[in-house]
Amino acid sequence: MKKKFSISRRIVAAVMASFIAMTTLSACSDDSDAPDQQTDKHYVIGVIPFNDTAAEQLDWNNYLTEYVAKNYNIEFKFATAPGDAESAVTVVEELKLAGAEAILGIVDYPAAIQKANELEMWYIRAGGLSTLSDYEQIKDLPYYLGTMGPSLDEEYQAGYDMIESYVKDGKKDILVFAAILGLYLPSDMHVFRFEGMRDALVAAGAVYTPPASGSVVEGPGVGEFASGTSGLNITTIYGYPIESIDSTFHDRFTQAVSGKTFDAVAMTAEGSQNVNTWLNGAGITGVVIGEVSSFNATAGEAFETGILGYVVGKYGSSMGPAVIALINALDGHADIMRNADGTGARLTAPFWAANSSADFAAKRAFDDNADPAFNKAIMDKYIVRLNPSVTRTSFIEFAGFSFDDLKALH
Amino acid sequence: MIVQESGVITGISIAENIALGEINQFGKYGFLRKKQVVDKAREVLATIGVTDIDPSLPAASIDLQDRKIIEIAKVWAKSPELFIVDETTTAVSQRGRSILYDLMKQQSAAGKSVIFISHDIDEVMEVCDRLTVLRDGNIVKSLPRSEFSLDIIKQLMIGRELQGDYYRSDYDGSYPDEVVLSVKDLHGFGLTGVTFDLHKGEILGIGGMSHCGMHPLGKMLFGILQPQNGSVKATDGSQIKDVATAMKRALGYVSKDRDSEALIPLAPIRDNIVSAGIDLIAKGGLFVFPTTEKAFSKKQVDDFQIKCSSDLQFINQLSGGNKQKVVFGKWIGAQSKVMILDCPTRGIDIGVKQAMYQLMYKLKQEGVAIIMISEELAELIGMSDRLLIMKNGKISKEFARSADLSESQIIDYMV
Amino acid sequence: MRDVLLKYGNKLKPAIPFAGLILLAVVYLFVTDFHPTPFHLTTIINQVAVMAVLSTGAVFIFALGSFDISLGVAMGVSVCVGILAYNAGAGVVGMLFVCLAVGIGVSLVNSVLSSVFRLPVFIMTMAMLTVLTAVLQILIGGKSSLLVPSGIQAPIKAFDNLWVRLLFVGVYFAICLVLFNYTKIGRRNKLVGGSPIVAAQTGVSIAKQTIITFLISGTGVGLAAFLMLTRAQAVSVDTGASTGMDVMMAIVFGGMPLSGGAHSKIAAGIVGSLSIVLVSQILTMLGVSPGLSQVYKAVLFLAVVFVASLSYREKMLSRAIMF
Repeated sequence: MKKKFSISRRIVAAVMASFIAMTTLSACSDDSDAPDQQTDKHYVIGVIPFNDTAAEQLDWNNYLTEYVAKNYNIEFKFATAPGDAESAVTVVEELKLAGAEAILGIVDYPAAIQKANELEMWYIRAGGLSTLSDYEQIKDLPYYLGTMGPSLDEEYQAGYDMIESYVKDGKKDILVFAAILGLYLPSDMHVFRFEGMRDALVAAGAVYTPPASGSVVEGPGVGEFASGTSGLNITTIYGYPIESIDSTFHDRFTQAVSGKTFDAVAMTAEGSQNVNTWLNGAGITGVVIGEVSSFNATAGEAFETGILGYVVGKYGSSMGPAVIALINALDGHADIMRNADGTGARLTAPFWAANSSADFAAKRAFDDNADPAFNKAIMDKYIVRLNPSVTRTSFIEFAGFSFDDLKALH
Repeated sequence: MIVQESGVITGISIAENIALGEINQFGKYGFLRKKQVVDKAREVLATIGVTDIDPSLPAASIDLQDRKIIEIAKVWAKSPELFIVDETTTAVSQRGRSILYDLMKQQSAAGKSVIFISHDIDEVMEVCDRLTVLRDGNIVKSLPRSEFSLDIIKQLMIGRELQGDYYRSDYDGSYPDEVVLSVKDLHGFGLTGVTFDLHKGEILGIGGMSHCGMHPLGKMLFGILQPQNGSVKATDGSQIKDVATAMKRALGYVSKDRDSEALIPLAPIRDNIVSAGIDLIAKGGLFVFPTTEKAFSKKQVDDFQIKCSSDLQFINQLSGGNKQKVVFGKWIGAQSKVMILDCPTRGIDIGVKQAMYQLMYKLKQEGVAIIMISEELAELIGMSDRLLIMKNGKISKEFARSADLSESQIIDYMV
Repeated sequence: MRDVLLKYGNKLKPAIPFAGLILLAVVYLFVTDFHPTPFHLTTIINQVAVMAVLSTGAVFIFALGSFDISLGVAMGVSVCVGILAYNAGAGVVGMLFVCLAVGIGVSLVNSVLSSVFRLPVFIMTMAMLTVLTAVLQILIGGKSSLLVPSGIQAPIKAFDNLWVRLLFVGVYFAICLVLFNYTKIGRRNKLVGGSPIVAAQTGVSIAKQTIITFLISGTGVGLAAFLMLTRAQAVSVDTGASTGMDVMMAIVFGGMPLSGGAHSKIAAGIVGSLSIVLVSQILTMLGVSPGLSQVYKAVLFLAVVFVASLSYREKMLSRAIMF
């Protein structure tokens, strides 16, 4: 009994002491290293991630902490990815408490943007464009800079280019995997990606029949393709194996692919490793997969193992223009991004694409944090304080730099 | 050692319980040879003369008394040099008791030792060679068999001379004609047609072997169990169908299994006492105030002289006798007019027992009707106005209170 | 020292959550340089309100010796139906009544079905968790979230203030305090939590008690849903998904015993919710990364559970579950 008490007391004391020690040490530590080049003011920017562990988000986090924080007088405070609107509002409040003056949000919660506005914190939605309906809710808020990411045209083109690349490469047997379309949860970007794929297949001579409801948004299903004059054999599958959303997925997938062979898979989402596993499970191997994800390490591994053959997506330093927009706003030049009528802007930031392992590796190396695609030399030119000749038009152009544009500028 | 309370794990089989602690010898690499375990258990049970219990069954499928027999077998199989029995006899049936006494004699005959812990003076005097009396954590005295005397032992146990009669002093078994509980032709749970009436101010004893059906009968009278056929009716003619109805008709029930059915061990005395009488103190039928509760509880604590630091002390810190006083206080506080007591003096010392008997007599004189279900013939004979003996689920004989009534007259109707 | 602990341990234990809260408040003041601003205090109340109301209602269920894991999703469904009603023209008061009706209705379904099928309440609520998640998805109707259009948000946002939150939390807590500490309802809850068998043999109808308990908790769900709506006029399919576990954590943090019964404390919900929010904000202000924050919170929670489960007397055997 005596031994039990002394052990339990020691454990409790150790836990409490370590908690106090950890918090004290955290308070004493300095999160950000001193930047090489000083700006006038120190800014604290809060970051609301869309996911705490996704490879794409981690790449963005690394770019912000390893490059931006070290080259600009900015400290980033990262929040936990919120699960719903109320959590997002809480996260904004906590970032304010942590000293954030502006927010780089990679989530779609108008309520959070409204709260940031109430707290007079500049907010930019980056990493993707808000839906139009969300945008309409918040466009007039004075502290809302706008949203920056691939436009719906970009999304459409991503799907179109993927199929076009397959056709050029002589792929004949194609599986179009429309992911979450035709279910309860379609999103604009997936619809546009699919429509790009559809139009590319039709351009190649295939014949498309939409689903009975007439709309891929309504579903069920996304329609069927006949070969027509294309010489292509096209199979479609939709859905995703999340039990609570789509419990019939595996049965439908197996039914759709059994007895068939494929040269390529065109996905409207990411998850090439999973699709490869499911195809292997149905006895189908050696299929090249194309996905819309990002230029992250996971995609790199998938390319090296031959699973991935085509990728469209964002990249680590694609956050750069969003950060510059916030710096300008904090310096008092929010009008550089916002529309002339005072509403938040919708700016296009294009995808990168790669159709081979070598192409992918080269592009990823080009965006290394030692000297990323959006590096200081390029970004400084669009900070009004450093370059008063920046205009709204030139800023829009900056946000829309493609890979080739950035390559030419390096 | 055979522990006082339950030492059997109900979630495994009887055989596995017997093999507890030695299960590794029945298999290799984590694989168990179940047949071997069962066969060994059968052997072990046979050494204590038990052949009617199937060791392959789950321990939960047998009743509390038979589980105690399993424990006895488990311990005996280890051939202990020192055999310790802690208050076990109150938890077992007559069969279990005779098995234990027999084993203790065998142990002694083999030159080995037994420590037998018990409140039951009669059995201690019968089986022991030497008796050591403890009180309040101290050894009072050690007596050799030659000096055994009931009165002396009682006095040593309670620290004073036992004043007055142990049971009631009168042999007047009369009671008013008013029927307060009418039991007609009860069937179910082992009962095969039980009929009797209970009268106001009557102490009705019900006795028999432990599986005769008297314990389920008690539960049926209080509405805990529902009979397959037959009825239990209160004084106003309404049927007792559930506990709530029983309590509304001023019935109270003291379960044999005190710690798991009558009291909440991890709750204060006050909460336990108030629980049955809460409707009496609730203002507007809903609101209960701490001051009212405290007064209600304090009355019972004082009336029963419950030894505690305060009525906020937890039940699990009380002795068996004080716990039983709390149970009584709970139902007396609820103003019960009919009390069904199942083994009310189980596991309590003679000083408290005497107090319980005196209380029962006092309640009788106040017009409370009492049904006392017990396996102790002495207390049934000592306290009952009328005694019903049960056998195989029915009443085999009725006895009126008499100075000449003895256990030998009754036993024939029990076995 | 050991004898002192033995003697006073059981008396000191109920005070530990309050002492912990005071300690956290002191740390909070320290981190804010002893100059907490109105924003600090408002934020605390804003963040505590929903969890405090949910947790206070959940104390009744916990006291019974059970738990409702579907609380959070029930709140999500309540929010969703509230938005649908408001968007259809119900007005703010109508929205409040709808939220309450749904919260109470869902809880009633849980408790009545549990009584009818004689299933342990926790098992019933696990099944309801799946059902309600599906209901929420269907109600949101093929989108990722459901919003109140910005043009008509103003009447709701008028309730998005400190005083409304304090009023809702204060009134609900006061009612629950009276019910739990000064009525038969609270007494019987603790009795059932202590031992369903003893409670049944003392005339308590476990089924009726369960239904009353869920009515009270369901009211909390409805109120929490309304408070959530005042903060964010939107619901998504993930709303409330992890709230059930958060409520359990808050209640345990607040000193509620794991098995309910006599030690149950109605203030555990508020104390625990406040404690968790303070810990969260302290870690945020100190710039601790989100991942590390979760680790610290988990360690603290384990420490609290460990201390709460220490008993200074012999452990009792487990009790039978009534149904």
